[in-house]
Amino acid sequence: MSLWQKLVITILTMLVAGFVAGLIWGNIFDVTMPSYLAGMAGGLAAILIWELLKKVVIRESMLSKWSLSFMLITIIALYFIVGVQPDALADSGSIDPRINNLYEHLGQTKSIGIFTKLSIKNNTARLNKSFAAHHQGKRPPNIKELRERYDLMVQEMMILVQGKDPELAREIYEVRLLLWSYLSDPEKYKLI
Amino acid sequence: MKITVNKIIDIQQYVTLYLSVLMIVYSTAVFSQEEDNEVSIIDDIYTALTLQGIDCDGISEIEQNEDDSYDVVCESGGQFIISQTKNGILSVVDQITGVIRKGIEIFIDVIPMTDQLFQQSDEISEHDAEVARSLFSIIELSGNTCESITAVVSDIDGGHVVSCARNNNYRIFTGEDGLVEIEAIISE
Repeated sequence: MSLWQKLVITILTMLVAGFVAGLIWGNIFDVTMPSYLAGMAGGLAAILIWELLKKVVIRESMLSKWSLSFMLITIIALYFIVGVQPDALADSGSIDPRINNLYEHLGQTKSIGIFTKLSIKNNTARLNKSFAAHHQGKRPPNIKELRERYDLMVQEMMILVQGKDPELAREIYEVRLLLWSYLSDPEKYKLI
Repeated sequence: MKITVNKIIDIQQYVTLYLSVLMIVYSTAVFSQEEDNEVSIIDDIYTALTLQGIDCDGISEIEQNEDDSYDVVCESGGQFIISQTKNGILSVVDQITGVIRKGIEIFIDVIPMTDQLFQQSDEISEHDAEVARSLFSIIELSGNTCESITAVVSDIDGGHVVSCARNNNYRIFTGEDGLVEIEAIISE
């Protein structure tokens, strides 16, 4: 087997190993795998496959340019399908995917720590409880009061991230009216 | 000149070398991350307490317990144990009063509002307490100070003018670019 063929197979193996390790890590810990660990998984897989390729005898015809190209296209297609699937699933739901994306980005951002995120969760849960009471007919809170509290909570989030994660701040600002439309509408509120 | 790679370094040596380099890189990454965490956990806990309306004024002492909770001493004199419950809820124990606060209950008693604000109505409403908590958090987290809120006035454009004790007054509003701005109002 020629050197370039070994290299292609090794690189593909590294990509697959790193990707699979990332998926497993994400499922277990619910956070993105650190890049150095993904690199380590890929590196170790590369050593194994390189050694394996030295020992395994493969007929040249099995590793023609066409078969290697086919493998490459298959892996890229799989990567694309797996990567796109979550968005496709989100679209099939009733809630706007931009809201889910915002929740996801808030959970993932490193600009705020875990206790801060828990504190935000407490405050938003409390506001959510007030929305639920309002939609059940309880007064107060009236819609004007809820809007004031909602706007202030958005400002609290903005003040936390606008300096450290401007992209997330922009996302919060852009989604705020959309999220309000869900919270303030009794029918749409049920979807959240 | 012909160089045979196998004679310079065999596969076992290569693997050992590779793993050694990997371990060094990994250790460096972990240690640098721990240092970062040490700095950021103080900021994280201070922010979490402020968001609950607790006037901490900065953290003077912090100690991690075996159960991953933290003993915190605030510059303002308050002492708290902050932790995450198994259900993923924030728990704050006031070590001076012994009050335990968990979950979504509002910490009305800790939100710094002077009697002046309380006197505006017989009983402080949940709405007023939440508005005061949010405004206090925004002011403190922007680097300004507000020992206690004495009055809140809403602007027509959705902004708020907040009067704090010691004549610190602020206008809080969202700018055209979407960013939150805090203007100190200088009283004459």
